[in-house]
Amino acid sequence: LLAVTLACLLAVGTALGAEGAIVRIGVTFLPDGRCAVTGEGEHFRASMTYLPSPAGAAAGLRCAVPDSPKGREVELTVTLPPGAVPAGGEFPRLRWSEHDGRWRGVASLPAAPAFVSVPQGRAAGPARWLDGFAPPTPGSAFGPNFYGWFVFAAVFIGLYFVWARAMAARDGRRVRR
Amino acid sequence: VTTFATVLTAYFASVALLGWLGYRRTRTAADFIVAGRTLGALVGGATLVATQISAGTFVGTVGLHYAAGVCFAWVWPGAWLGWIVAAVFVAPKLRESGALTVPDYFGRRYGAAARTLAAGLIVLAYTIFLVAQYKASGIIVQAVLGWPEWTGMVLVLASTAVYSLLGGLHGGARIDLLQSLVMVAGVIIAVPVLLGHVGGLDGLARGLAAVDPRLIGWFYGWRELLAFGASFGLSLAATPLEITRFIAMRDAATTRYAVGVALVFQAVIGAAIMLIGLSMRALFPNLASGDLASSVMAAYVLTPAAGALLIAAAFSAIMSTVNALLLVASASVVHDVWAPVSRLLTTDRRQLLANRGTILVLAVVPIWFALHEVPLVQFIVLFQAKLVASFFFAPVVIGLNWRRSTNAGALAAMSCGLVVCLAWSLPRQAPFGLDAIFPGVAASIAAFVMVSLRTPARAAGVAMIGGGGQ
Repeated sequence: LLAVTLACLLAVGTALGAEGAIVRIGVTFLPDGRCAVTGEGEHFRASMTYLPSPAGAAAGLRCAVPDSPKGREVELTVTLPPGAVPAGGEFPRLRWSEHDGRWRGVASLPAAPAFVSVPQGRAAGPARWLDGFAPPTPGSAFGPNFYGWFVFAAVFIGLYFVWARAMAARDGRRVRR
Repeated sequence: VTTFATVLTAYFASVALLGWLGYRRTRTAADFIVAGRTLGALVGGATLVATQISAGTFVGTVGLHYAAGVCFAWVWPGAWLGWIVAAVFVAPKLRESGALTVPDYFGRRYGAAARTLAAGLIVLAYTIFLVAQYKASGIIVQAVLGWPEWTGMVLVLASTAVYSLLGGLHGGARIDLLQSLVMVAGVIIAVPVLLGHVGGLDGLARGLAAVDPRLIGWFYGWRELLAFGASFGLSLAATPLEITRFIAMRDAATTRYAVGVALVFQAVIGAAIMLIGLSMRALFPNLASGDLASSVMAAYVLTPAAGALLIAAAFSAIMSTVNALLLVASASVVHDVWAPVSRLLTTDRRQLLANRGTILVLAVVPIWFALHEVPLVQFIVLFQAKLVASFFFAPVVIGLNWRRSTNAGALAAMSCGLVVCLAWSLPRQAPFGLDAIFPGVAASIAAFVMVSLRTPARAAGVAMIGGGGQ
């Protein structure tokens, strides 16, 4: 039954994307470090150029995406500057192809991402995932309800095991008696 | 799609294999319902956590963190307290009673009418819970693979019903351990990728503050959080879903350690789920629904292999809960309602057959409801938790520890709890801003105590629980 079900599902598994007004967003990384963003769709139009931030440059290519209407599907096209090569770890995940010496990535998304990021150099390697765990700076916007939860969970579970051990010892004494 | 299909096929094949091994070990109804009471602390803890962590967690809780931010994490301690109450006040006494199911205990303690009512309420609440599981599987399959929702529902139905009706709890418990490990692996691999994208915890906090500052503060007030936490805690303390697992463990000490194992699993998964929901809000601030966050992450953010593992983790959560729901509901129907009045089910073999047939029927019915428009998955889960707490908390938790409770008190508690919880849930705005869990449980406790005190007490010398003394 399981095998038949899986086979049927694979056979009928054709992509049935939800119909509706699609927003098309194009992000082009320019050779001078800027990025140009265009967007168009029903009741939606955007066109802007962002300057690179010094902090962002170290992480590779990164560009903000303007807010698009909530829940609208997005066709995203990202074009890299001449000479830049996708090294993996991009956000969102893109399907890459090369056109006239420039790499272009495309994705069909259920909503617009907050930004597009294409890591370059070291930023594309595994070290990037470790950077994600860098301790927060003292000025972090997270409050005590975030860090406090981790402390609370650790203390709660630790105390529970102390109690469980004490109960097991008590049961052992009762059995010996 | 190929990577996803390959990983998921390998996962489902492993589940089928463990289900078949469980089938080979299942000889009697007790093997089927409570695994012959042989579960150790590790498998027991894994089965507790796999049962509790459901579609509500992988789809709904991620969705609520996406929508409401950090503060929803404070609901977990409510669930943990519920487990501790169950481990201290419920599990040891239920084990002593010799009952195989919660309605079985009700029959021994409160009589046949209470047993039948309890079985009926279990089927009602767990049908609602199953709708949430099927809905979530449909959402995931549609978002990740682009297939229609019903295909996801059929996939879960076919795979889970097969291993549930073959292996019972013997197979289900081992599969739960596999599923708990898959769940932990799935979320642990996802978190560093997401934090890498958002720029670490600092970047995450900045991103969330830019979307809505309440996401890093208190989106919900203490009343709402207390209601969420109480719904989970009060229902976990008395839910037949978990109690059956407690009964299946070797002894009281094993039960206590199993709860500790479950707490560790759950804290790891809970922390990761929080970070996933928050990161997805920073990465995709405008999703149509928070319920989509985990599937969108699997399909568009993680690598195909990591995404497939996360989807396997989500299916693990769904399937383990569906398995537990089907086993408990079918045992309620067959062991507690059908067998006592039927001459057909006099042998273990026939009861096993009846259990398997009932599982098939109970698994199919909720699909019809799940194919309709339903609210957010987590709200369905919360609703059934409120129902379970409202009709089971008093007769199970208080009843096990209070000698003066009577049959009439238990019937009154279940009926009042159910009616008040349903009536309180009907208005769009909760009366007095009070969630239905509080009046539901309060009415049930009040009815239990008052009616018990006004009806004749049991004869002196009758055992408080079980042992066939009623």
